[in-house]
Amino acid sequence: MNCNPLQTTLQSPRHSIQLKNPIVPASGTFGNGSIVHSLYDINQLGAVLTKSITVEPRSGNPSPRIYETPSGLLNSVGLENKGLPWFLEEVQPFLLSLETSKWVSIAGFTIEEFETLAHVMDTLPIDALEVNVSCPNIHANGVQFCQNMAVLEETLRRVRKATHHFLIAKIALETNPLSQALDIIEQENFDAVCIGNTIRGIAIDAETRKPFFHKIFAGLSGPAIKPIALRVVWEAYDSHPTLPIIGCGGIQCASDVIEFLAAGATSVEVGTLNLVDPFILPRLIQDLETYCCTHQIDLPNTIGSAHHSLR
Amino acid sequence: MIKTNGEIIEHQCIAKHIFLLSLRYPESNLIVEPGQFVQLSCPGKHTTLLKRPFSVFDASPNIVSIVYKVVGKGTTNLSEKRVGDSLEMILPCGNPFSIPQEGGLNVLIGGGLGIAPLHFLTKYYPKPPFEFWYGTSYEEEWIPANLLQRSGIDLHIHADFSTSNHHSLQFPENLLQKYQKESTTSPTKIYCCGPTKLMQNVTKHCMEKNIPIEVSLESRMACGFGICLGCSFLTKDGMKTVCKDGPTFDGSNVIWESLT
Ligand SMILES: Cc1cc2nc3c(=O)[nH]c(=O)nc-3n(C[C@H](O)[C@H](O)[C@H](O)COP(=O)(O)OP(=O)(O)OC[C@H]3O[C@@H](n4cnc5c(N)ncnc54)[C@H](O)[C@@H]3O)c2cc1C
Ligand SMILES: Cc1cc2nc3c(=O)[nH]c(=O)nc-3n(C[C@H](O)[C@H](O)[C@H](O)COP(=O)(O)O)c2cc1C
Ligand code: FES
Repeated sequence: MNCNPLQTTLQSPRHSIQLKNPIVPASGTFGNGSIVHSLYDINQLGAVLTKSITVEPRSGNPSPRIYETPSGLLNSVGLENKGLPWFLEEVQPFLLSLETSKWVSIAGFTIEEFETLAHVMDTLPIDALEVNVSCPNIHANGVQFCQNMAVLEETLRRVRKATHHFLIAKIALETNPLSQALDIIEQENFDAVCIGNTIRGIAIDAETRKPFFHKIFAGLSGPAIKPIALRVVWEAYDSHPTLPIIGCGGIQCASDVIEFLAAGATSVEVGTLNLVDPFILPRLIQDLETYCCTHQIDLPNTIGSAHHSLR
Repeated sequence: MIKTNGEIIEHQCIAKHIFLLSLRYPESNLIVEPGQFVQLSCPGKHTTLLKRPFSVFDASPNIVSIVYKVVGKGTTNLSEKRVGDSLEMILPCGNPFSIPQEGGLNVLIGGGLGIAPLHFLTKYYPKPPFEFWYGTSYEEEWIPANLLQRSGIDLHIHADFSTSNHHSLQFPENLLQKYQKESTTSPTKIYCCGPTKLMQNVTKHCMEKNIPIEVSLESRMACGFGICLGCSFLTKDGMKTVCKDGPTFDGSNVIWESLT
């Protein structure tokens, strides 16, 4: 057994990044790290990933923004953030002071915005750039970038040209056709895929019989979506076994992490559970260590093992 | 802010659907101040995922008390808990009220369960004189006055339930009107907590009279400590989170329309 059984490597033909462990906070559920760093040392995490940053400041959607569902959460935060100049001034120094893998999430509403963000981020000594292509494209009637294959291809190509960084495409779980989107991600020399973002849902207030959220649609996350995220990871590994996958959706305990790895993920992102328990991530790391000891395994051997078991 | 387990040491129904709950936790040296809140997990027969925010009604070393109303899944679960049961909680969350001025007159206006943080303010700072105006929309939801009354507090209860069903629909307006009509003092500061409409009206009154006003806001929350932006709203100083930048705010900075 390896002396660090949790160590994992995201390895693409161009790049590789090594993580102390596979546990990464999901974008938007960890602030920019500094609040959580005052609770525990976030350098112990596999990587730190920021809230999605946009070129312009955004005040996000009107309240209410949160609606609890059975085992899940609908959110309508609407990518609130203070914009790129603020990020460079306020978030960057903290992020760069960390001693673990440093990832930044970017979000755009046009291809040009993605390109601008990637270009600016190229100058920073970060370890990876996560490209949130689950955003609505304002030039395509709000259709998500990952749902229109021509737009996805163009976006990824221009982002890839703008930066040398390790690039992760974060797609929606509903991405269709999935296999074609993954082909594009590989062809455009992205280094990994994150599967995935929240699933679109709505809530209706039974008292008023009106939509609960001003924007009607909101993103479903949390344990309720785990089987779906796991299924998409499974299909992605099946069709694209060499593309590193970061699994995300509903993880709440170490066995959930193991399930994602066995389905084909190399690392995972944990979102909603940070909001339930701010100390969840260090506990996951500890519990994974225990799991590896009791099962006498290294995590890398677990990746895709549920598929191998069928052969 | 810590995560801990609180053991229920007191749990009693004090009015219809309203309970007083006290929890003892092991950590000493934790400072919990008036205006702050706890994020309490509410497990039980109704499945819940998120913790629920409740203002601190009272606190002493190792003990925190809340007063809550049963409104939905989590609070129904909570009402079925017994002394000796244990609940996970995160505390203290948010910023406390500013310190009331000693010698000055501090007016407290609380509607419904908005009295919780105001009650703790009067206990935490026993010296400054307080004038406490309290009202609810349902007669049967009155918190017993003996829980609020203490020396140094001039307690005024708004009890206008002349409308049907012992229900005062206009209570946010009426409570303020009663205060405006009957109070003969000039406050150094007003603290207000309750329905948004009440806090908005009281803020308007204070701005007209040039009286400093501090409010304690509520919002739907997920994390309760500033990382999800689920409770952000617009203020005159830009976007703020109720949970981390508040819940206590200078009322004159709040853009009330953004809270609804
Ligand atoms: C800072 C803060 C302090 C609070 N202090 C107290 C307190 O001292 N005592 C008390 O009884 N309640 C307080 N609340 C409100 C309390 O958090 C909610 O009543 C509780 O979360 C409802 O949970 P539930 O599972 O029973 O309701 P759910 O089943 O989740 O929802 C039922 C109904 O409750 C209301 N509700 C749900 N969440 C909230 C919320 N966060 N704020 C307001 N209304 C909500 C909605 O109208 C909803 O229709 C406070 C809220 C905040 C943000
Ligand atoms: C409150 C909230 C805010 C989010 N903000 C972002 C964001 O800014 N960018 C992004 O790519 N994903 C965002 N997400 C999606 C999460 O990163 C994650 O993909 C999703 O919640 C599924 O994982 P989970 O079930 O573990 O939460 C957000 C999710 C939540 C709940
Ligand atoms: S509830 Fe998460 S930021 Fe306030």
